[in-house]
Amino acid sequence: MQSIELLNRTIQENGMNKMSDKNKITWWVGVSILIQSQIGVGILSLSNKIHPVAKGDGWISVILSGMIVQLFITIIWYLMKTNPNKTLFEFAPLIAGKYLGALINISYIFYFLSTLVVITLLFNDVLKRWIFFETPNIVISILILMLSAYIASESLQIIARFFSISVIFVILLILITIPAFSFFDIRYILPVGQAGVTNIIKATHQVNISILGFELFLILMPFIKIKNRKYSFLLVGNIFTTVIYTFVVFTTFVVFSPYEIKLIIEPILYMLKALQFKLLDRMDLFFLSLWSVSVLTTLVIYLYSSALGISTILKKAKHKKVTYLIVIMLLIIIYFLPKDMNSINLLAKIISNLSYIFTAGIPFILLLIASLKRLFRKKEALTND
Amino acid sequence: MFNFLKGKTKQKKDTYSKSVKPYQINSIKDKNTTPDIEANAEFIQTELGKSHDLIIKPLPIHDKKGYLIYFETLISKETIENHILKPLKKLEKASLVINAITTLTLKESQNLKEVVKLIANGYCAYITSDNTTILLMDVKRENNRNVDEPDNEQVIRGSHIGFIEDLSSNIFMIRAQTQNPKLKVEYIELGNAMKNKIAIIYIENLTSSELIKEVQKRIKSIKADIIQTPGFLQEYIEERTFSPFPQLLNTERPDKVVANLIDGRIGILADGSPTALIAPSPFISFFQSPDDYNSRVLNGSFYRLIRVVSFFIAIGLPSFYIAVVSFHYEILPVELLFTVKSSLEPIPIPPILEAIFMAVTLELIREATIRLPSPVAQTIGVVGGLVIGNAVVEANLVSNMMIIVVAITALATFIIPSTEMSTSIRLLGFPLMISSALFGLIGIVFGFSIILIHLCKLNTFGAPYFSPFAPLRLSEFKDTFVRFPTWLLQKRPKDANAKYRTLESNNPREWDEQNE
Amino acid sequence: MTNTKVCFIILSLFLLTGCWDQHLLKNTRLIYGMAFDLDAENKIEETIVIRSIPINPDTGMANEVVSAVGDTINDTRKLINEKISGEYGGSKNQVVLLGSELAKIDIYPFLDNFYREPLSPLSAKLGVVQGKAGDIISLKEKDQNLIAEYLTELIRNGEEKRILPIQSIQTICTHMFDEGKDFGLPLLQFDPKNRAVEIQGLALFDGKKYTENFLTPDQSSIMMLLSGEAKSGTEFTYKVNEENKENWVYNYVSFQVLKAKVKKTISSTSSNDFSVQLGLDLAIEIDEYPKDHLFDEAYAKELKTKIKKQMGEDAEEVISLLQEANSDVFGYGRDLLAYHSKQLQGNKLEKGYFKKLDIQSKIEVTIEQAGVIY
Repeated sequence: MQSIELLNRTIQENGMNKMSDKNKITWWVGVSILIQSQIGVGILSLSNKIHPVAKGDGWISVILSGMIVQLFITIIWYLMKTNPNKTLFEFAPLIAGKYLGALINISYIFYFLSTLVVITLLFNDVLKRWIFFETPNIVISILILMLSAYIASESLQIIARFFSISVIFVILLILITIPAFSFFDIRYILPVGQAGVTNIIKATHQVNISILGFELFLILMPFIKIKNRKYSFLLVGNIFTTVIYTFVVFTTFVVFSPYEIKLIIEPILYMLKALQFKLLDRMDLFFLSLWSVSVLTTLVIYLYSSALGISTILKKAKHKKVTYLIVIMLLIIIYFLPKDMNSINLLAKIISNLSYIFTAGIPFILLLIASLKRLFRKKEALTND
Repeated sequence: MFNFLKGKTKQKKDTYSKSVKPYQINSIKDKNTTPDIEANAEFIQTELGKSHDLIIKPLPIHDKKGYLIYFETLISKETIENHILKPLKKLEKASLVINAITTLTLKESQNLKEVVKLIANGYCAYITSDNTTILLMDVKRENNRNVDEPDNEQVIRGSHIGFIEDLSSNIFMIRAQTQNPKLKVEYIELGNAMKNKIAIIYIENLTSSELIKEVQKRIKSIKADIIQTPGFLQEYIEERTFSPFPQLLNTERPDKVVANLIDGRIGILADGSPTALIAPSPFISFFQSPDDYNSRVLNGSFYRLIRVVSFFIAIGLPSFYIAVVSFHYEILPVELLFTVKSSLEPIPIPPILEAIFMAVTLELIREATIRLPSPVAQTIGVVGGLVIGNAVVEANLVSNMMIIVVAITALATFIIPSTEMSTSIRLLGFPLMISSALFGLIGIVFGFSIILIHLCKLNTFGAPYFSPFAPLRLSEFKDTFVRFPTWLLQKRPKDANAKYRTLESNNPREWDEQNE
Repeated sequence: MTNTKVCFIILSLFLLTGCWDQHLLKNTRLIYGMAFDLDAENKIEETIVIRSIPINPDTGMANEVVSAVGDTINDTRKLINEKISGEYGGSKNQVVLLGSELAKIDIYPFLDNFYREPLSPLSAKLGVVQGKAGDIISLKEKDQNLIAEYLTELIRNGEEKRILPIQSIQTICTHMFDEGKDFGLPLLQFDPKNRAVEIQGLALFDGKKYTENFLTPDQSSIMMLLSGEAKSGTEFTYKVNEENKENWVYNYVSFQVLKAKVKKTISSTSSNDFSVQLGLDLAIEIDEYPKDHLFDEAYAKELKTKIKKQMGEDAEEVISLLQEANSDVFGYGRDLLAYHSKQLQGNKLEKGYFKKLDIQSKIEVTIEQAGVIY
């Protein structure tokens, strides 16, 4: 009798049972998770990456990319509607069959893990260039990954609490950049359309890969309260992210001359570097500090998803141990990976190109299979009648 | 003027003011006495929530059944003995009871509602089997011990009384302030080797029953030889003992307890200690002081903001300073930088050690002054503050800047109304200093994130500790960084999960509307 | 068990304290100003000034000047580092001076290090020195002021008086890499006899090179008005009357610009052939005019036309000077690229496009205020 009570209490106190965790998250938290999983490492060097392709029209590419991403999100939305209470890891075997489903799950986990590696490496790379010139890479990796594991090992409800407050950091991030507008030249992005339509579309690739993160809703969607699970939160979140990215790209484009922006790897930081206030200089350091929270949140949500995936496959109720194991594994991988500029970029390129399969390809195919299945079932039902 | 702020509640106008909620004083059923004495007693007992301190004492007079009903925590035993019991014992058969009793105020009533109300107000009721009229005697106790204002929770405006070591006096203070018949007291005896009486106080029909059950369960499950003070109790019942943050609010102020009870929280008192625990206590409640509500809205809000700022200063200023002077001195504008540099120049030790040295010295001074009698304590303050401070700078051990930083930090921590929280925050400063000495600004941000994550993880009696920030409850921000006028604070905080979330009526300032 | 673990972690953290990227403010020698010159053997000579803290701070401030000759900036820096005690702290540098000989070649190589280093001060002021820049830095002190502070204040003052455009190393970079806009830097002059430093005007740059042409402070003010950078506050003194010798003091008028409005229209006559109509509306306030005849409307009108005429002449001179130097400080190239890219051959600016521009300026003046007397 007492032992049952004890057991009940531990379940209650921990609240970690991930099954009971579903249907808990509100609309607003959904928005903030989407925003913070999308805004991450990419924001710093986005302008530098799209300028060579889209020139002054890069900001159009960002808006365009926001629309494309919205399309991907819609696919995911409809896919998630077919199995409203299951994560991708749970319903993939149902839709695609046992073996194919397992393959899909494993590949998603690999994708999430490799994204984690890339994000950590890019984060290291930026910090190494701007603040930590001599601190060993692995120390920074341990710091940020352990920190993410500290929160990712909790239930999504607690992660959601953290996300609902850490959204403030994103807003602060944008507020810091506003004073940079003191000197700018709008003519740098004129005439609109100088790069041509094809180049603008080409550049959306670069934006797409830095606006990633929405694919996590393949896993997170069932955790949102049914009554709050509306398309609007995906729309609002994505619009918010797109607006922020557009703002950042636009700002850097009007502040720096076209040739200069090609030279500077992180234009947004560079822009803040020269800002001076009465009491504080070097706003870039503050930006970096706030930005590292954004990276942290991205890592947390990827880490949680992959841990959840692994524990679903292993049929474990808790994902705490799995999370820490993943982190240790990642740290070992990161330790042995080459860390020069080119190989990081190559790795990032491979992962980002693969991302299309995971963000749009597989969800679309699954959706197709699911709706075909339903169609057949309807027909069958009709013929049976 | 603030109509737009309450736009939502306005539509539901009627649902508010007309209905009386079962926890309010007026919620007692209007009923006349019946000839059945047991029924009357039963009615009174139920309406008073079967509180443990309600005494129903059989007092037969000449074979007639009679009950003396009173709250033991409200009455003065002496008065009852001298003015009720003594005369009644001597009562002759023919004379009336009413003529024998010698209390100053004596009332008669046939309305049970009135009776219940008066009992909650310190009256003693006497019901007899042959009479439908109930005698009511005012036997309210007067405090014979000086109830001083608690030293660690002084306020400028507001009541200046504090709890004392006697449990029933403490409950008396709460009962006397609320006068709510629905205020329920439950006693639990704890301790295997030394018994101590613990009182759980809440307002019936308002406080969530799950919360009551949870508190009861946690307290009853304690198996210990000794539970002397709420300090012991706290560690047994709070969720995470190793967390730096207190999860139960400690207070010695009856007004604070009462305000929390009305919010649907539970007060826990123990005999022999003037400290009350409040469950659940979210993070923000440690930053609220009765002063905020007693002073004007703008003043109260201003001091709230000061406290928020002081929180950040207390937790981050030394580490920020360390990060600046040992990592990112570029942050400072050049004029300021030179001042800082020239004060740092002769100091041989790294900033982190400087900071820890100063912070520890400060703690020494603080601890020394607490333990000593107050005249000596002042001397220690002077010696510690002025002499050591001056000598340390003269000796080039600690820079002037560091002294300023540590002093401001210390001031900021002392602003926080709750001693527990202020100590916790000072304690948290140390790991942050170390992380900033290791990784500069990024270290601070990471350290801060850890604290934030920890706050998000914490629960206090099932309610999220860091609400209304995480989870975000914008409507509850009205009583966090600023304090809105009390008539706009119409919703009870969600953490206590009270049965009725809205307070009072929807239009507490009716006269204002009429003028319009 | 867990407690000992935590203690161990904290202790080990303590041991690590002070590793890696810590650079203590205490150990840094803060560099406040630097100058680059061309050595006789085409080597770079770098002169820096460090603000040092005297043992007894009450005695005042002190400066330390160090210089070294090397092949690249980093090379000289290495040599300097060998000469100073403590860490080389360049991140709070206030002013960078470039010798004119060096500026004539190309200034980017000397600034490249500033742009590349994350800790470098991009908000520092830049100046070109007629002659050797190191000499100014070597002054150490100028009338109780430390030299670096003196120089920054000098340049900042010029910016406030609208003689110089507001610039820093950061903004220069933007224009250096902009084919459609050039810039000018403050030109300083050093008088070794009187140990005096003064602003000689604005050194005009074409791309990354100093053209050896410069505008005087007055011309620079007009340039700032024409480019629209100065909206108000510019001061001028003109000679407007031809009184006889004894009354020469009555010849002059001083005024300040209250509002300046630039209207420019760029039209293309044929492809790659553009003309600029530059209109400047000025509202001025008379600050000093001893002759006091402004209540007479006709007289005031005459004064106005005189000012307008002289200003027009000056403006034309400024424009011709700029075109001679091929220094497009107005950023017309940007305008062409932004609004007239279709008329440009191959959507690109040709090299000497600014010289070929036909710029017509037209100045309108209204006297808006005259102080409290006429």
